[in-house]
Amino acid sequence: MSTRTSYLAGKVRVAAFGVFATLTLNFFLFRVLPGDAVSSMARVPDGSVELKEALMRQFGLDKSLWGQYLDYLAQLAQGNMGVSYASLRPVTGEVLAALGNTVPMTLLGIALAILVGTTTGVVAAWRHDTLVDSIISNVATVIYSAPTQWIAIMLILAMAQYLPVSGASDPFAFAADAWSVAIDRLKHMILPSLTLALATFGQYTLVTRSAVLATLGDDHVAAAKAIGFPVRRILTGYALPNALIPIVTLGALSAGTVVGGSVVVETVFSWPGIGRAMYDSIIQRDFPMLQGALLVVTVAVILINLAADIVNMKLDPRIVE
Amino acid sequence: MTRHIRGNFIGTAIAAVAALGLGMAAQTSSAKADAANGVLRVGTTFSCSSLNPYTTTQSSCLAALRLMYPSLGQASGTDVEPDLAESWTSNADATVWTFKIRSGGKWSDGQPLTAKDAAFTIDMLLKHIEGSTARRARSISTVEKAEAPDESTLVVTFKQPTANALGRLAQLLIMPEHVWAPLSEGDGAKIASFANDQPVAGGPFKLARFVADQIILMQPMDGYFGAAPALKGVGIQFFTDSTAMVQALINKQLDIVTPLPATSVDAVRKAGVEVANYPGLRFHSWLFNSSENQKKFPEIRDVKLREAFAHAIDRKKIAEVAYLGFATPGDSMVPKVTGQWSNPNVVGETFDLDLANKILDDAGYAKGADGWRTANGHRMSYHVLIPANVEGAEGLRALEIATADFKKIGVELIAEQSDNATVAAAITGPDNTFADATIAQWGWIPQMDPDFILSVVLCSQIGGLSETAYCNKDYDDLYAAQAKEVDPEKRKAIVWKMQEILQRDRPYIVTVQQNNVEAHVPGWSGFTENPIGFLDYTSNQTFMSMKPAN
Repeated sequence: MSTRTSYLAGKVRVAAFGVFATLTLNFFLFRVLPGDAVSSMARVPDGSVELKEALMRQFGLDKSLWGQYLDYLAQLAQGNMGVSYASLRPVTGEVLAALGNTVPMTLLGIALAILVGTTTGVVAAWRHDTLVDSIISNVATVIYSAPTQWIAIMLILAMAQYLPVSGASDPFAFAADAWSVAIDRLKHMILPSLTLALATFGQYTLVTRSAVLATLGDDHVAAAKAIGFPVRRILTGYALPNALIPIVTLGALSAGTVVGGSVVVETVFSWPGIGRAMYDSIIQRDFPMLQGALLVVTVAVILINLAADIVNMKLDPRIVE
Repeated sequence: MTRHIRGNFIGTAIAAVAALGLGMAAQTSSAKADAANGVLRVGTTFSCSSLNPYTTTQSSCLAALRLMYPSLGQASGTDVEPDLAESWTSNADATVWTFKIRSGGKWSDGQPLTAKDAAFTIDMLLKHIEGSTARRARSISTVEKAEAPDESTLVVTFKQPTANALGRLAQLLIMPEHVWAPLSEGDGAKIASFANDQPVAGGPFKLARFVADQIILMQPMDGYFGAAPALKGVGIQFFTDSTAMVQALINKQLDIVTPLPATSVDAVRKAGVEVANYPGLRFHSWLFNSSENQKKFPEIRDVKLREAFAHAIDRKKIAEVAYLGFATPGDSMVPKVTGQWSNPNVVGETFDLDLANKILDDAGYAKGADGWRTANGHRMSYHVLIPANVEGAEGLRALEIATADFKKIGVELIAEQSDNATVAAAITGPDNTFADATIAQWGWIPQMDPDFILSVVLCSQIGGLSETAYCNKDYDDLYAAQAKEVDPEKRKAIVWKMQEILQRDRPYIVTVQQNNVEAHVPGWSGFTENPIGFLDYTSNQTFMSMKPAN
C-alpha cells in the first residue's frame, strides 16, 4: 500500500469512527438531559397519567435505554432515522427539507462575508497604520462584536417595508412559474444572509489583515515591489497566496455554519432551517429529530474536512510523510 | 413577478398549488392570497407542526382544524351553538343525548357527511382511548357508545350522568369515516402515524396549502352544510420571533396578530392598527410542592407560610410593571372570565408585608439579626423554578418584584430558570417522587368549563398533570361529584366549594390573570373578543364572524 493510500485510508477510518462516535454520543447525551418529550405533550386538557404512558409506549420510551439504542442502530442500518415526535413525519425528509432551506441562505451569507472580509482585510493590510486601515479595522471589530440578534432586528426595523422579513418564501403567494418562485426566494434570503454576512465578515477582515501584513515584509514581496509591479499584482499574486492558509482554515470552519445553520438568524427571520429545527428539537426533547439533524450535520462536516485533507495532500505532498 | 388579482382565487390557488407540488415551471399564472382578495392573514408565534387531530397538542393546529372539520356544536362562552347538529335533546338523567344532524352536508371529496361519520368518530376515539386517540378522547371517557340509527340522527349514550356533556361532545371534530376507518383497524397505530397533510374537510374551509410551522392556508369549501363564510380564504402564518411578525403587521402583510407582545402595542397603534386588550383565561401562579417526600424544606407544606407568602406578592405591581398593565391581579384558578364558575368569594390576598411578617412571626419562623428568617434550623431560602421560555421576560420581571418584597419579610428567593421540559422534570423529580422542588412559577390556560383546571390538583393526577403533588380526598370527592352533576346550579355550588378548599390549602397562588392582546388592521369587521383568543380551538366563530370591508 502506498504512503498516500495508507494516509487516505487512515483519514477515512478516523472519519467513520467520528460518525459512529457522534451518533452514539448524540443518542445518550440528549437522554441525559432532564425532561422528556411527553411531559409537555401531556400538559393538555385531556392530559392524564394514562396519556403519558400511552405516549411513552408510542415513542418507545418505555423501553430500557439500551433497548432504545439498539432499536436506533437497527433503524439507521436500514437508512431510517425514525419519526419526529413533534410532527410525526419521517426525520429524513424533515432534515433534508430544513437543510435545503439553510444551505443556500448560509452559503450566500458566508460567501458575502468572505468576499467583503478578505477584500477589506487586504486593503487594510496594504494601507496599514493609515486612516483607511483604522476605519476598516474598527468598523470590522465593532460589527463583529455586535450581537447577531441585534443586527438582525436592526435590519428588520430598517428594511421591513422594502424586503421580506420572515420565512423562506411568501406563504401567501401562488406564483407558478419558476422565475417568480426563484425571485421570491432570493428576496427572502437577502436579510438573513446579510445578517450572517455582517455578523461574520469582521473575522475575515481581521484575519486577512494580519496574514497579509505578515507576508508584506517577506523577501519575495519586497522583490516584487522593487521590480515595480503594480499594487494589485503584488497583493493578489505575491502577498495573498502566502497568506491564504489561515483564511482557508477560517473558511473551512465556516462549513459548520453553512450546514448547521445559525439558530439566531433562523429564529429571528422565522427561517425554516436546520439550526432552528435543532433548537426546537431540544426544547421539545424531540430526540429522533435532534439525532437525525445532528447526524446529518456531523457527517457533512466530517466529509468536508475529509475533502479538505485530500486537498491539503494535493497542495502539500509533504503532509503524507 | 407576483401580481395581485381580484376574484377567482380558488381556481388559481388550486392550479398554483398543483403546479408547485409537481414542480412545474411551465405555467405563468400568479395569484396572491391577501386582503385585496378577501383572504384574512393571521400571524402568530404559536407554531403548528401537524394537522393530525389526534396527535397535535398545538392550539393553533386545533384552531385551524376546527375550520376544516365539522363538530356537533361550536362553543359560545360557556354555551354551545348548533353546528353539524341542528338540535339536540336528552333523557331525564342526561345519559342519552339525541342529535339531529343537518342534511345535505358533503366532504371535500364529494362523499356525503352524515350522522354515521359522527358515530364512527366517537367509536374510534373510545376504541383507542388508551392508545392513539388518548390525547382527544379523555373528555368523552364517560361515553358508553354512539349510534346512528339513520343518516340524520346520532344517539350518544353515557355510562353515567356527565356534567357539561354537550360541551364535551362539541369539542370533538367529526372525521370522515371513509378516510379514517382503515386507519382505525387493529391497534389504531396508523391513526397516530397518519400525517393528514391533505385533510378531507367537511367544515367551512378546506386546505389550500400547509407547510409545517410556516403556513396553513385555507379556502372556502363547496358543499359546506352551513352558511358560506364571508372570508374568501384564511391564512395562518407562523413566526418564531415577534419582531418580524409585528413589522409584517405594520407593513400590511398581515391582518391580525395574536398574541401581540405588550411591548409592541404602542408601535402598532401608531401605525394605525387597532389593538384589542381584554381578559383572557391564562393565569400565572406560584405552585408549592405538597409532597411528604420533600424532606429538606417541610415548612413549604405549612398553609400559614403559604398565606404569608400570598400577602407578600404584590399582584397589582406585577400586573402593572411586569405585564405593562396587560394583566390583572389574580385570585382563583377558575378565572372570573368563566362567569358563573368562578367563585366571587375567592379574592386575592391583599399585599401587606406587615401582615405577612406577623403571620410568619406567629407561625414561629423567627427573624435573625441578619434579617433572614429560619425554619427547621435553616435559613428560609428557596429556589423558585421558572420555565423562562414559557413565562417569558414578564415572568422573570414578576419574580424579581416578588424577590425584592420577600427580602423585606426575611425570605430569600433565588430564581432558577430553564426550559419547560427541564423545569417540569425538576418539579416532579426525581422519578415523579416530588422529593426535591419547593416552589415554581408557571401558569395554566384553563377552559371555559372548570372541569379541566380543577382536575390538575387531583390525587390521581400525580404522575400526570399534577405539579404540586397536592392530594386531598375531600377535594377529589367533590371533583367526582361535580363531574356527575348535570344541574348547573348544584354543580356551581360544588365548584365554588372546591375553589374555597384550594384557597385554604394554596397548592397554587394565582398571581396575575393575563389579558389577551391582539391586533387587527382596519378594513375588516366582525372581530370578536374571545377569552380563549382569536385562535380558538373550541369554536370557529372568531373566523366565521370576520368580514372583509369590501
